[in-house]
Amino acid sequence: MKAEGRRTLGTVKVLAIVLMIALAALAIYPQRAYGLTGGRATVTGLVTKPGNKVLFKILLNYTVSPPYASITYDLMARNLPNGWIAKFYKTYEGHRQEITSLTIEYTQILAQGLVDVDLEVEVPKAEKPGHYAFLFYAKGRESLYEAVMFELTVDVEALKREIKLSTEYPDVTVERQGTAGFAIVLDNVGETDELANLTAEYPDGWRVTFRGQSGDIFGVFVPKGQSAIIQAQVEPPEGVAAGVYDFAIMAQSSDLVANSTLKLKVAVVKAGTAEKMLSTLYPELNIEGAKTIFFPITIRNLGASSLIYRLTPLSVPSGWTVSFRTTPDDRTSSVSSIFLVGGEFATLYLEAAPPATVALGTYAFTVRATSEEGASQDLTVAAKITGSYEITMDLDTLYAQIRAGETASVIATVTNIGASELTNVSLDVTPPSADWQVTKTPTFYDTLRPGGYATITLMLKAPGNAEIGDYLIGVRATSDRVRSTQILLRVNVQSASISLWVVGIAAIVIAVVAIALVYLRFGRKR
Amino acid sequence: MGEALAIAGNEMRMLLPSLRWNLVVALVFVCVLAGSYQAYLTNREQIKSYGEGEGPEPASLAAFASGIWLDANAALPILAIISGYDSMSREKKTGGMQLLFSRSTSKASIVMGKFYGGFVPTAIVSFSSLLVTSGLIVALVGPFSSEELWRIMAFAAVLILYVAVWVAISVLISTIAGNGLSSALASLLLLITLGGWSITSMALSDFMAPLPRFWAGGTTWYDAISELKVRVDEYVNWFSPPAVFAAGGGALLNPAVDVPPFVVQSRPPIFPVDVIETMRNIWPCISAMTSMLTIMLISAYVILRTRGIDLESGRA
Repeated sequence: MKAEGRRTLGTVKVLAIVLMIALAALAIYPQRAYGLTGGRATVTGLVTKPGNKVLFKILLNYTVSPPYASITYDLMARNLPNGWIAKFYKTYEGHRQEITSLTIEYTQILAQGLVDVDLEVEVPKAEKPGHYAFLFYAKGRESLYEAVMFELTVDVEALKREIKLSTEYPDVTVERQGTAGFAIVLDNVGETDELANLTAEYPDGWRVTFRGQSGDIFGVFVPKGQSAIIQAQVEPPEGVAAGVYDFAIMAQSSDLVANSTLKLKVAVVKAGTAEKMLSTLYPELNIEGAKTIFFPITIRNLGASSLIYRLTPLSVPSGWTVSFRTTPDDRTSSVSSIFLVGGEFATLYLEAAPPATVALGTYAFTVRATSEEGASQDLTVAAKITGSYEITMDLDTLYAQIRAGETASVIATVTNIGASELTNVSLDVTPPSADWQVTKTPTFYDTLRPGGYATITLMLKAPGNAEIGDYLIGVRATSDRVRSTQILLRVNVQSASISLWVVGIAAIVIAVVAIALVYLRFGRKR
Repeated sequence: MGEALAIAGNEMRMLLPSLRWNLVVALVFVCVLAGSYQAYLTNREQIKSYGEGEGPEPASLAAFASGIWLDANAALPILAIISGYDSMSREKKTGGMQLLFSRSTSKASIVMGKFYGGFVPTAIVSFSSLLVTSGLIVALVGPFSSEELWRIMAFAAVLILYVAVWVAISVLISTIAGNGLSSALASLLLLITLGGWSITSMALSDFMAPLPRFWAGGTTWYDAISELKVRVDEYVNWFSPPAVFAAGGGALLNPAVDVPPFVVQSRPPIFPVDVIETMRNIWPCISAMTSMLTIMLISAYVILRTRGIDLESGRA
């Protein structure tokens, strides 16, 4: 009896030790393994630009309990990118104070529950655009458990760099010995100050000079959000032939990021040439596909007194719509009459919009300008629609999973979004290596009408000895005239199906054998 | 130890030829086959939708998780209950317990013997069902990466611990119950109750930290009660083996889970989460199940010892 009592006592001791170890591992409350301090940021990801500061509002949820009377947290920002500066702030009685640590007393917890801390992060001016992540870390000095860490992110966007050249009168007329002057405005609509170099492209023999307030210039400094006015002087060479000459004025920053080009035209006329009330530099325009066309039209007041001129379209091809615009970009208002001081002229744009489907060919438009005195003049311009070729392609999937030696099937839909018929439409496939077999069904289409689409089934057979992994296969639609952008198809190749089945069956056999052994050993009663 | 193993051997010889045991083993493997086939079909759908830019990237581990989940959460706990529900009550009914007492067999050896007798075959069937699922997934879906294999092995260990808890629970109930039928009913009722524990934990947290609907957020009291509600919900879950297993096993089979058990992942996961990180996260689950197992066995021992005098005299 005594022996049994000792044995029982021993068993109880062993079980008690096991229980204590288990409870110690559990530490009564399992979450203790993570510490009792919690924390979060009201916003964990912010977007900013180089040189700016961002502010994260952080809430620390501390749970200090006896025997600790207080806990002091060291506040840190870890894994900050090089050059970034992080500072912690806390507001006390309305005054914002920079801090590096924070002490929480037990009595404060009962009263408040959460502590808010501001984390201010300064992004260097030279930082490149990108996604940057770092860690907020608060570590309690009194206990290793009292710590919290979480990730914060900052997306740095590039500063906008944009300058814009413009002028009110881009097309001017000069006589052979005259000089054309352009008042050019350079707007800096970006977010940084810009020093722009001025250059020009002009026909041989011509001379282009830029003038600022202090004389000839070749560069101009424009603070962000401001503008500068530059006078450009264009002088023709001696003996220049009458005609229209193209000029391009370029402004670009030294790093070439911000740049702008302004196209100008100078029409040279012989002195004393009879001027017309209504004229255009481009009586016929060629255009690819069904796109809206703009004809610049000059209306000149040949008289000495100011007059109002009424503009009307006389003949327009069926389905087309025409309007007069002050600029090609202005889609909100159209012009039906214009006021001109005697001897002045103005340039308007005749906008001609084609119907949804338009056949190739030449289309003529006649417009009339009538002064309030009754004088009128007609002008005929023509648009020649030539063919346009555009093609797009979509795949029914961008991901396929096959085994080595097997075939993946992908359907490509090719669409003709151009204005002309496409011929010999097919797919151009770039396999990962030459031992991949690519089959197209059908191989090609003879023609594809505008707006039409066709499907081609692509069969991609991985070689039997292909290594396991992901392969990228480039696919693009092609035709005699044009090709689409390439789409990458990701094919995940696994090991050959037979070897996988062998592995699978081997695992199942092991399971069956294990169970059979148990049944053989213990399956029958004695 | 020798006495315990002898009792375990006898227990297994009683268990394995029995019809009820073999029916549930069959149920286990039916669940494995059905789960694996369903996982295969789901994987095909996933490949299609992933190629169209939707859904997660198809992975063999996800297919394995889908294939084993019903088996691990329903069929194997039932098998564990079947293996131990009448281990004690049968002995009391047939007089075997009095015979064991008359041979001066220690109460601890009896409890451990009965536990081993149920646990060993259940563990072997559990491990076999894992192997069959793995084999089918490899053949039908694709091979596992080494990281996935480590995760499956860790999951196997957690699953074996989980079925051990259920065997121990059924042995404890069998020690208390008067007969096998009431023991089986009580064990299955407990399985159903604990399986739907999330409803219980929500009800308890609502009861202990009521949050009137007309309260607006942002105030100190609102935040404090919300926090308490979350904490109560979290604490209560730790008392349910199925909830603890689902949290631990689920994290092992889903690398996207990188928060501790019963904490809602409210932000995108931080990849990659390796198996070591996951083990560190779910360590409380393993501790909790170890504690449950220990408490069940000690309780069975204490009850057997308390009621031993009655059993020896044939009054129980």
